[in-house]
Amino acid sequence: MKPLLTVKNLTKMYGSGCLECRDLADLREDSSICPDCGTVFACKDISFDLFPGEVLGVVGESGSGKSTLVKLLNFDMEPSQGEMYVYMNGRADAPSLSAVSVNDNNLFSLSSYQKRQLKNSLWGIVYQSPHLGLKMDISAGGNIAERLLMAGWRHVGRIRERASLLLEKTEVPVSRMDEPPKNFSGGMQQRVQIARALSNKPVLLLLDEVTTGLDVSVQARVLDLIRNLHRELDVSMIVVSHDLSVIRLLTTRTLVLQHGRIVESGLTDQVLEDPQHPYTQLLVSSAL
Amino acid sequence: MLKLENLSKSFVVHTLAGKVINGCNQVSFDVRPGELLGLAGPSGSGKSSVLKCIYRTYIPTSGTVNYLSKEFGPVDLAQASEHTIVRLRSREIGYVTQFLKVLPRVPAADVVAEPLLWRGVSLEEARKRSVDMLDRLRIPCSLFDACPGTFSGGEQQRVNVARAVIARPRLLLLDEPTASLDRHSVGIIVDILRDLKKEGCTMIGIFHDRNVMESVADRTYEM
Repeated sequence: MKPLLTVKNLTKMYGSGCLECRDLADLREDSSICPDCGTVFACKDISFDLFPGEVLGVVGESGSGKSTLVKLLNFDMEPSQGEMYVYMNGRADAPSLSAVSVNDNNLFSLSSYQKRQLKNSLWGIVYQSPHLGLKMDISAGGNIAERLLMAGWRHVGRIRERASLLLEKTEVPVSRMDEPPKNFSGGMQQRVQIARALSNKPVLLLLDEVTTGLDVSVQARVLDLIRNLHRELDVSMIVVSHDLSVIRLLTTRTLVLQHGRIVESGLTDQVLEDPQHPYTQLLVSSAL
Repeated sequence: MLKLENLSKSFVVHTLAGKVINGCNQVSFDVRPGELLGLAGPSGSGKSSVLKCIYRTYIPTSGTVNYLSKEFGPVDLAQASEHTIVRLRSREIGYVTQFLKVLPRVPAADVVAEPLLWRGVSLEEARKRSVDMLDRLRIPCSLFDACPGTFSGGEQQRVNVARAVIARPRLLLLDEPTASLDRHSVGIIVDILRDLKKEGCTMIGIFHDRNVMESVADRTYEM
């Protein structure tokens, strides 16, 4: 089976780069900055595969490049180098993309219009802060509807029906569908974000620190929801977190990032029980 | 079915300035289809490490772990891709860990049903079979919707066994499946293992109780 998503040599650098840092396979181990030209490598040479239905964890401390990686995958920013390929594996329910022919094309080389089309039909993203993923002043149902409109839906009745279904699935009271999310609690806002991200039946869901900052009981509810949705919908996910217990609970494989680079990757249970890289060992031994 | 050649595992602990700790050393044995191989040896000799190397929770330092997979043919588990291992774990290889890994808030019936759900069995059918299995292992029905985190050691152990055997793996790794159990429960587990053997399941088991091991194992490997 071919992977759903293949990412090769994804790099984001701030600065012009120089001969030293372009050719060096490894920058200094303890930094993401080139000592010669001062270029900052937010992400360097990130390569991985993601198979259908798989959950990939991305873990690392602040500044390791996790959020940059998610933003690059979501076309929120342009990479300095790198390729990304998506292969649909003939999924019967995959949303059709008349504007874009995806197989075998480097997605970063598509036009902005095509990237937006792709993003709206195939990807879903849930941010750490609901304010980034939702419009707080339009209704919860409206937030979901907006995304469906962007994916090409036009029938108002069906849009509303789908919005209700999703809110029900994410345990948001459907009676509050016409209220703006600014009236909701943090946990419920997060769940509306999840509903919105799932509205177009994405093949890939990006979750960027979605439970960080929530109370434990709320965090538990959101994590349980994500687990159940994953099983029911068979959607592939990339879960970014600095919390190892979230990684342990949700993911099958994990990438460990440090200074913008992958220092270790493997099956989640192996990374947690038999960490190879010194940084991973430090991370695992630091868990409460 | 499974052949280990010179399997060795050692740990380099960077947080202790690179100290090397040995797990197991030059382990070689083979297991024929339908056989139950017992792994015996003193505490700390590396028995669990061998099982974890087979399951790929540990990455072997050297040696090969050749497994004859139904889906992929002969595979060296030590070198196989992560994707292959994930697939094998969900379809062919089961593992009864020494201690139940508790997921919070997941009821016992769902813990046991989950492997079936991953195999495409419907939710209702999976729940039904899981409840039957828990019943067989004498878990009181009042506990079916409780989280195993609150169970006694023996009850957790039985849920752990249920979870691993319910999906009828081709290869089953058992790490102390009868520890913490009373004689009656041990008898039930032994019956389940004998049933699995009759169905052709290949097994490797660590048993702290020599008598139990000798009553189920065809051969023993001494660490």
